[in-house]
Amino acid sequence: MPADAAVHGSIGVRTQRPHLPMFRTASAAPVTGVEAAAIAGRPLAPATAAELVEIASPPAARTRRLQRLHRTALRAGSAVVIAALTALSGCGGGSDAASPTASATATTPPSANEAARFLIQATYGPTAVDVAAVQAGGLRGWIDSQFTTPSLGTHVAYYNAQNVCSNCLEAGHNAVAESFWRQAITGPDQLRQRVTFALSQIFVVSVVNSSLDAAPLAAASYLDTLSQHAFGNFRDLLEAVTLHPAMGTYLSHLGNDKENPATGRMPDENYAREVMQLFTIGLWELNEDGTRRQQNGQDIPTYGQPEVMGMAKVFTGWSWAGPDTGEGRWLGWVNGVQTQPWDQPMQPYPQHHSTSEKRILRGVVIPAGTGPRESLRIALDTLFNHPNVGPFIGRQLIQRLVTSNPSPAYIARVARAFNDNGSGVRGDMKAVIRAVLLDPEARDATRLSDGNWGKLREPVVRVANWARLFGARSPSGTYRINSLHDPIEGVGQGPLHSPSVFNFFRPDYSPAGDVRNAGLVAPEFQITHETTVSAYINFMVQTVEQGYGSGDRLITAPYTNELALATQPEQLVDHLNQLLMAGQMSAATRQTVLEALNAVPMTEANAAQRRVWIAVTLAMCSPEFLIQK
Amino acid sequence: MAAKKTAFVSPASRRQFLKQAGFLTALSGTPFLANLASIGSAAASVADDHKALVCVFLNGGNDQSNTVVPISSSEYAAYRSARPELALAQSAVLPLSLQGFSGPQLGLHPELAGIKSLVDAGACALLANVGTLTQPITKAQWNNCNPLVPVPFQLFSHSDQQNQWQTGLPDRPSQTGWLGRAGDLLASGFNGGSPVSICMSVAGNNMIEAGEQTIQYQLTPGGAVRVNALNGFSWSAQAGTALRRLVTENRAHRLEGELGRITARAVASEGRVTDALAGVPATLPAFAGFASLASNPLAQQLRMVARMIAARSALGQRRQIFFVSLGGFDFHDNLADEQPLRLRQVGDAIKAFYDATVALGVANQVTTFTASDFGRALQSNGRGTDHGWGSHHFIVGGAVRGNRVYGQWPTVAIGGPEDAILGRLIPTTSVDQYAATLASWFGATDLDTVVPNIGRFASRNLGFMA
Repeated sequence: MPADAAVHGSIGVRTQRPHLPMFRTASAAPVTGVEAAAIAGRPLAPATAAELVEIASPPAARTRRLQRLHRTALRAGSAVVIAALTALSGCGGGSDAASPTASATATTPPSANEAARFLIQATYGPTAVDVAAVQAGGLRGWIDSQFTTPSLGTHVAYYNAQNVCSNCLEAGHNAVAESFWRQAITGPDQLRQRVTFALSQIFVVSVVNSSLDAAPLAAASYLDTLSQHAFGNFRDLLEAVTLHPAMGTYLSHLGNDKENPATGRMPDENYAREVMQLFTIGLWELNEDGTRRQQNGQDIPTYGQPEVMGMAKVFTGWSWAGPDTGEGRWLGWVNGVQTQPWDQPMQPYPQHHSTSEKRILRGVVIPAGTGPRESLRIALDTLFNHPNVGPFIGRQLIQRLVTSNPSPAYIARVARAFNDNGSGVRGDMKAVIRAVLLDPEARDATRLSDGNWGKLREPVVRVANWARLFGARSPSGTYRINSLHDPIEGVGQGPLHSPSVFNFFRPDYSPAGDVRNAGLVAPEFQITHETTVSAYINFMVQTVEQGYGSGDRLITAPYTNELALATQPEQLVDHLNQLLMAGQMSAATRQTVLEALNAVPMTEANAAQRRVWIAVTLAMCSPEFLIQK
Repeated sequence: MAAKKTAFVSPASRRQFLKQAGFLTALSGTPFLANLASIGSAAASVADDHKALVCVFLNGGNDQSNTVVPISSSEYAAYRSARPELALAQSAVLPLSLQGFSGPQLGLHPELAGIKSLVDAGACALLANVGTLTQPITKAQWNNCNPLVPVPFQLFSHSDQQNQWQTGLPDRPSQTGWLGRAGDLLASGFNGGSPVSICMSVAGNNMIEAGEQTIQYQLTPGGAVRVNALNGFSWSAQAGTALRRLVTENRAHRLEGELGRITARAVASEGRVTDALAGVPATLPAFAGFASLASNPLAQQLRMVARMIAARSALGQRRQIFFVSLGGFDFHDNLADEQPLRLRQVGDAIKAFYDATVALGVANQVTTFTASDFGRALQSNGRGTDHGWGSHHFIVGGAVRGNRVYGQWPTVAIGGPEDAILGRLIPTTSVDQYAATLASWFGATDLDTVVPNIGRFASRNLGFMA
């Protein structure tokens, strides 16, 4: 239901010219050679720009436009060939791209600061133990070991163990929050945890403005699904997301009925549109490096309204899993009992699936009479094989983990890893994650002095950093952190609490002023303003000293390692500098913190505790911590 | 910057003359004589030459077809047949008695009783079928591409259409919004020395209030958030000084610098805002209409707007631009069950806000208007409706020529003269014209800066402002 985008300012870097109408009532008659390939499930050759325009245009306009496009179509065609050749010659380049770094780390162990910097990108924050592990095993070795590190268990299992009564929604949501934070803070599979959070901001579902607020089990199961596929193949992840009833509810394709020619009723277009715009290919044809392809100086839309309407038919006839496909189960009611198996993938109901011809993307036509599973396979294969997916998803993963403004070359290297993991496999998430984290640009120490590099650390990640580094826990052992999304009492961001399917912030958001004028984006600044910067400081001042929560769920940090350094302020600051900001604290900040610490004589009451609170609070409010580099 | 790179001649010299002559405060709209005529009424409150514009943004794309409904029999039948599962009962729609309207009998959604009372009182106008356009386009041009008329890029996409409504520039990237550009023109002349930006939001960062110089100020329904620790932690006074330095100092790194500027702005303005609001507590009788709307998030935002208006003198502001929003309008499903709840919140909140401006004696100085990502298809998908284009909106205030319909009421039927496909309306009035009319009333004379494409449309003023 809720795809209402949070208000934002997305800024295109290039000149945007007016676009020709891409959707007309006159029917287009696309016939291209890719159809057969698509129906056979084979990867598609990229459509030329001319084909794309042709697909969306009525015949009369098409003729006129094709004349105009003739010359440039040839040029675009050759560009595609060149791109394809480049991709071929770069086969395996995805993993090769990072190999200099990898081989370097094999011979020269990373310094503690290098290891910490890597872990700040790859986890919910390093501890001294983590840093030692990375130094011992190397970056690539650490990643490989993370790929096989099991999680603490499923969120559904945690939820079920709480024995939440069916109508106790608050208790249910608390169970999900406790499970999320338990795994984020204490899970040994930190890479999986962090990547799962990143995926939850691409494949967004939310309990805000959604009937999912009445289904906490759906949220638990959805997080499990993202987690289980985080190191798998993107094609499987895409299908699992598509068929999850949480997504089916959030974007309303669960129970989406086929068209009814008698009444004129049409299928719901919600998922059809957003799976293209947000989950796979985006709005514009992209080059491998994430820049926009152009035709006649114009950006090229990836699809128009006809493709959305064709795709909408694919996502009809899917609803609740169960042993039958009766009308009651279709509606979620069996024998008068509401029956909604939130942790099982949706199943097809052929009687509700559109069997008319489905014209989808890139000229692919799913013939009349095709059933729900086969239609889904063709549609998802078509999306998965679109050349946009690598740069589109790769850029966002880089932005979530490493930096807001990756170079086109960095995006291209990640895209090539997506396109081919080195063994001819497309969509291997392990290869993509390696490419994101081991890229020379991600590891380049000279970027530390580049005033445009890095990203604003997300509020959720900051809170996890505190809890992990300082060993925060509650007497009951639970991690009931459930109010972070509140912009006044919390930090303005909470897991699965996005205001819409457009996430907390858009990949192209840029704050007005210096950053925007420099042509840079800074997505996290969309939720960063007078209210939230003030609330964050208040939150940290309170949490560092008093903890979070109450009673036997009060989560406090023992600060064992830090209290031991209270009499040695310089060592205390060095310790925080390394683990919170990978040694990037400026001399001036260091001096400021030391002066504040030395202003509390050890002869005063509770001096050690106060020094630690001051040091931690100042460090976690410092720009060097908040802007991760 | 983008706003000024327009092909149209900017009347900068005229603006400069007016500014130097000190006329800018008194002259608002484009029709020169009309403004001279209105000076009389303005003079009555010349000591309080204040105006406020309030944008109520409905996130997700409000379904216009169930918001304003034709109830004449033939028109109602066409409406009902396109959405049998969703259509409101003819008898349930709240009928309007509109002045000078020759179209079908129109009514409002039954949960919009608050809006209906404002329409009946002449304080609310309807703007029909308004949407993003790069230039006027007919259905024939849309269908036949002859002549080829450019349309806004990425129609039907939430993020793009929301952005274009706010930038007012659907044919190019823009780093500014039209209210932000209006703010650029008016801030120094009206709000010189104010500690707070002319553009204020109670709903988070937005594009519409982004200007070239104007940086929007964010506050909460409860006011500005104070950071007590800057004056000293409970366990160390000195640490507060250190904290203040760290979070507000200049930084060479671009992102660090931006964060510091935001925090410095928050810290610098919080005290002034909190003090100003202390003089106009939420418990004042003027705000009584909000008391029963504690669970209405839009009402809570608008109460803060009303308090900031009441505090305008203390804030040193004679021009105020506000942004509030309500989410959840993307009803692909659950439309029949849940749109009523949202519209109820809209109607109740706007009514309470208007009543507050009356009680404060500023009703004629405050104009509230609605906006949304897009309208929706008339055709039902069974449980809701899909993304459309043109939509209907409300303008509320004492200066509004209310109880009238502006723009062109569309044919509510599948295949009608404004139907792009399945009841997605081709707009007959552009966002530019909507914006220009409001900006003129607000006192922005340089409309080519506020809405650079305005010259492509026949009228710069839709006439709904007195």
